Amino acid sequence: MEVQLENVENSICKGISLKVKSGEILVIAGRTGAGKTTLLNIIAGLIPYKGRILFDGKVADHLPPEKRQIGYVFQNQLLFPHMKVWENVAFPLKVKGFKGEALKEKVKEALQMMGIGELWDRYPSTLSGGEAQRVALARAIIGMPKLLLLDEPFSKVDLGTAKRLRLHLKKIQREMGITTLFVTHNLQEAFEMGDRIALLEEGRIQQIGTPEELLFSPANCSVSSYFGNPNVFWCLGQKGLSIGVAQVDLGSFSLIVPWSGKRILKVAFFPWNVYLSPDPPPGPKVNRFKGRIEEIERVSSLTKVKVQIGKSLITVDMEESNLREMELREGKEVYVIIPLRWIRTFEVEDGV
Amino acid sequence: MKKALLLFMLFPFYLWAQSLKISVEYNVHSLPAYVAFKKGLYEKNGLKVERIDSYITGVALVSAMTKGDVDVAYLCLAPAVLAFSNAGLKIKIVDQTHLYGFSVLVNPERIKNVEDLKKKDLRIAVLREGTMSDLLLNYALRKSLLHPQVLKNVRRMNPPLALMALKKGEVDLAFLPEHWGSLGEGWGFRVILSAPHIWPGMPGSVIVVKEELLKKEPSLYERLKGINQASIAFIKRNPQESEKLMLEALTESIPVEVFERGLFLPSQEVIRRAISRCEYREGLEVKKVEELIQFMNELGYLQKVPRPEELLLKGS
Amino acid sequence: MRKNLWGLIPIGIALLVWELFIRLNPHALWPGPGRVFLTFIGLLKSGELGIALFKSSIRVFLGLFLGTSFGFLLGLLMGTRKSVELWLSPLLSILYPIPALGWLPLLILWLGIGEKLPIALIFLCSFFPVLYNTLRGIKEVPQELIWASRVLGASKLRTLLQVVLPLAFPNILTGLRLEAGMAWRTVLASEMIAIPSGIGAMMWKAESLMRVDVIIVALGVLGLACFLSERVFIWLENRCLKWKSSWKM
Repeated sequence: MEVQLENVENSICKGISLKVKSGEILVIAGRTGAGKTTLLNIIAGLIPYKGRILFDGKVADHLPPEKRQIGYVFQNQLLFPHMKVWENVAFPLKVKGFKGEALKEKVKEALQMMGIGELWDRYPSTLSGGEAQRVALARAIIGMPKLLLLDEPFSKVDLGTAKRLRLHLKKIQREMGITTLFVTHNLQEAFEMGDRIALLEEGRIQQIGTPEELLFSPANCSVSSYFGNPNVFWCLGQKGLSIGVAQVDLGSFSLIVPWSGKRILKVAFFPWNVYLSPDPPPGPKVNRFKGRIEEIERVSSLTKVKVQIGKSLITVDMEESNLREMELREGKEVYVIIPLRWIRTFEVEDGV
Repeated sequence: MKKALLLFMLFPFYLWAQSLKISVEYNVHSLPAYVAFKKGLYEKNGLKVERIDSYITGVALVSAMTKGDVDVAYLCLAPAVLAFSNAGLKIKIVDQTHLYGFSVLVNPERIKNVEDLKKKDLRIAVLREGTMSDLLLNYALRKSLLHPQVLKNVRRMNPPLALMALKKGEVDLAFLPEHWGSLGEGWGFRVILSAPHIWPGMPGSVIVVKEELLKKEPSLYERLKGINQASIAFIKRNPQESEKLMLEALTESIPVEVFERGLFLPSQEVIRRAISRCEYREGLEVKKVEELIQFMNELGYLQKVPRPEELLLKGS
Repeated sequence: MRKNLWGLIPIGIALLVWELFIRLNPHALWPGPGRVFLTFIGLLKSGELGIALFKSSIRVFLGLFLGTSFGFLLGLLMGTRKSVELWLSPLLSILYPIPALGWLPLLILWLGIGEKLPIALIFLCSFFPVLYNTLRGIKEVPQELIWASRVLGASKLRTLLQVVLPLAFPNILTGLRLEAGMAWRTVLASEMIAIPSGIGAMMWKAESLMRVDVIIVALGVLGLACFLSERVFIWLENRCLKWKSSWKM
């Protein structure tokens, strides 16, 4: 189902217009209070708004929530505490009139798809965070919704579980081809999940585009600072080293980067994915450089350290305690490590 | 020995020196007590009585007796039996003071004649279980003067509340001790039956004394009996003065349950009618005591069934 | 089972001490447990106790049933219609603090003495707590859960019946459990003051006749009735609210 918003607004969201293609995952990113959850609630028809919402070209404003054919995984799962797991998952089907063995079969299938068949008779209060999220997901998709809304569904689970759930979700979404809006404030999650990202700030859309577009061509400082002012460099030359890996010349230094085979235009890495060491770090000498600390800036709980490598300036985010432990200060020489796996490249077809 | 003799000789003075606590019911049944008090009969017989306390019903009086606040009581026979049997009070009956003294007061709009008393939807007000009014009601039921179903509509309350209930139309008739029945006539109600019509020979009130007092001073028994005889003789010879005495008494010592003086204070005319419905007479018959005990036992009122002799002094 | 048996030992000791004390200090107004037990048997055999308990029970049941039903319905209406809540809240907040027995004189005048009186009193005693517990139960259901239900395809009515009311149920049951005991106390008082039948009237009559043994029997029976009434609701809670123990709103 294609979803279109035309000038949708209320007290929090202001003049939002966007189009979500059928089968696409659009990530809605932004800081806390940006209006992400409000936007989802508007699309679900849960709160009043002005403007227009169209599903597959048809106006949907008059439709109550139960008629919009939406699956919604809330931030707090919101499983019905008085219903067992199977009853929670069965709920959307019961509403549609399913009953008896046919109903139970479908529920069994959905739980098995999520890998939680053994939770059948349990009450939500006895589930772990990850289990509850899977149940919520199963409940959201069992009714074959045309649109799936996910509000920070993995924020309450540990990193490992979140990663597994993301992969699982993406697989199901691709299989079922459900148009999905995924809200997150986690950048890594946004980059992993989204076909496109819509960045929301103070109720307005700052930019919609692919993760690379937002990273490499931020529309404004707001977008750029949201991504933590990443370190972005033009690629002056590249050399393929092996399948999936290339060496790029960034002027002051060269980097080994992931490579899909196309022409690399830009290279970026986030400040918090760069590590510093006062002494030569152990291990292979890949993406390790010597530089000098030019500036140390304290911004709220983080410390931004600017390191000069040749003519280039790299920004590194560090915790104050680490800084003190390493006795780093302005003017001191330091080793910079940029792990391969955190480097993102902006690639284009030859001839572009 | 000398000490004991001295104490024995001095005790009457002790008794005289200690005030005797006498309590009565707040109705015309107490007339003999007030005559004795106001005419100085107690003093003449060597008994110091400073005042007489009155209680709204005999059962209320018995409650006070259980607390030990009463030495001599003029109360209805049924509560006296209850006090002995259920409350375990060690008392002795000295003498009877009257027969009858109860009326059935009706709302003339609902009950025009005695036959109307048999209506099954009548609502009745009566004093609480164990009072003579209550026994009279049960006697009337036994004699089929009332329909058995009316028991479901019996409300228990003290006389002032019963009169108010009649006035508000909440009840159709009330079984009341005199003077309350006569007072109700002044409110537009009618005494359709009195005790003699329902229960011939119905016992009224008796004088009871704490047994320990009688043991300490056996002459108290005869003295109280003599005082009672003299009071009753006075009442018969001096009806008008007796009425005045009664009126005075009912005005002076009013229990809290009489919540509105203006409404419930009787006139001399009311007292006259009330007294006429009592038969002041001494000389309690043992047979009557026995019959009453049996009746109360049949009603399930008694924890243990005493013999009449246990209530009376030996040889009396 | 063993724990319950252990619990009976102190009761047994207390009864023994009571009986011993009475035998050493006999008085008609202080019957011992033996005497009380015999009176209990006597009242059972004569049917007086059974009839009194039956009459009181009917009044309690009817009053609770009516009070709960109306309280629940009005609480439901107020919980789902803001306008109704705004309109009725001021009036109800004035009436609610009046203790049920405070209505007795008024009800005697309006309803007269009869079966309607104790039932009306128990109605009042249970109506307000059930109303407020229903209202509070409904309002405490998180808005997001209601949204979850709507988004999953449930209509407003289905959401009310299958999500809101089951989640409000614990509050309603708690209110009922507390009021069950109160209903018995109310019926006792109304029977003592105004009605000539029931356990309360039996106690009042016994007071008039100075039958302390009968009063103690009635108190025991009353205590048992209150206890059993509360246990019924506790059983209901345990059966219907297995999910509640660890879930917090």
